Amino acid sequence: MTHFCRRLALAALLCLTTLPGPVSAQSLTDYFGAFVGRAEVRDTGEGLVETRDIDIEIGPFRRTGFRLRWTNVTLVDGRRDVPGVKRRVNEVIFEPHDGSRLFVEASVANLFQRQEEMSPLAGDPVRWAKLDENGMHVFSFAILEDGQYELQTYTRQLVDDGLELTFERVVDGEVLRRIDGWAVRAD
Amino acid sequence: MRAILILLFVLLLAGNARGELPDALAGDWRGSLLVTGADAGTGLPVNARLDPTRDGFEIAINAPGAKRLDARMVPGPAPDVFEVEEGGGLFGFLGDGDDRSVLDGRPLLWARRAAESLVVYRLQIVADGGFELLHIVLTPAADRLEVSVQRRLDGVPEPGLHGFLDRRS
Repeated sequence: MTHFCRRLALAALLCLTTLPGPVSAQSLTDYFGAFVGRAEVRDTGEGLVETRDIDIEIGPFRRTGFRLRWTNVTLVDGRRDVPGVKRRVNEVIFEPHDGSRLFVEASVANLFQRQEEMSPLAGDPVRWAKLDENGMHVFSFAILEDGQYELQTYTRQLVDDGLELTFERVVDGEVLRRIDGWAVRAD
Repeated sequence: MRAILILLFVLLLAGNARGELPDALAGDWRGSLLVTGADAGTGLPVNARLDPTRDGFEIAINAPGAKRLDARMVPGPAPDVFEVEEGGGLFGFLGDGDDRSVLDGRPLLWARRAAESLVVYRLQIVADGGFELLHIVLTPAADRLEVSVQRRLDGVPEPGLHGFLDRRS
C-alpha cells in the first residue's frame, strides 16, 4: 500500500468526514407480529450467564411508526415456575423523524403537547431506531453523570420464521453485557 | 463576615477546579497516529492544540482528510465534565445559533477529565439512523501527548488509532 493510500485509510478511520451511507431498508411491516423465544445473557464484568424467555410484539403506531413491546422472564435453573423468577415488561414507540428514515422515540403522554427539549448532558437518554438489510436496530445513548457514555444497541433481524436478537451494552467503549437470542413468529 | 468571605473563596476555587484543563495537556502538539497494533510505518499526521481559557479550554485537532475538531469547552453540569460553549461554534461547520438537536444531525460534543487525561467525545446521528461515535483520549506522557482514538459506526467498533505527539517549539 502506498503512503498516500495508507494515509487515506487512516484518515477515514479517524472519521470526522465519512458517515454511513444510505442502504436499502426492509419493509417495516415485515416485522409486525408476535415472537417468542429464548436468549442468553452474558455480563462480561461478572461472567454471569442467565437464560431468559423472551416475548416480543412489534406493531404499527399511527401510520408510519411502530410500537415495540417485549417481556423478559429470567429463568431460575432453566425454569420459570420456581421462586426467584424475574419478569420485566418494556415498551417503546418510534416514529419517523421529519420524514427521514430515522425513527425517534415518541411518547404517548406527549402526543398532544410540545416535546420537551432533550438535554443529553443533563442525563436525558437519546433513543432512535433504523431499519436496514441487517435488521431493525434500536439505539439508546446516554451520557452518565461522570461524563462517560452508555450505549445500548438492540438488533432484531428477520430470519426464516422468526427473529435473531442481539443486544450490547457498552460503557465508555467497554462491552459490559451481551445478549444473543432467537424467537419464532407466533400464530 | 470572615466566614462568608472564606466560603466565597472556597466556592470560587471549586468553580475554577471544575473548568481546569490539566496543565500538562496545554500546548501546541504535532505527531502521527497509527492503527492500533500496526507495525511502525507512516502514520496519520495530526496537529492538536489545547489552550486554557478563563472558564474552560479551547481544543483544536486537525488531520489531513478529516474534518477539523475545533471547540471552546466550558464546565458542564457535573464536575470534570465539559460541554461546548453555547454559540461557540462546533467543528467549524456549525454557525452560531444552531438550535438543532442531536436527532436532527447536530454533533453532540462533550469532554471529561479523568485523572491527568482529557477524554473528548463526539456523537453524530445521520438521517438514515446511522451514527458515528468518536472517543479520543489525550494523556500527558513525559513531554509528549499520548493520543488514542476509538470510533464506532452504528455501534460497531473500528480499528483504533494511537500515537504520541510532540510539543511544537
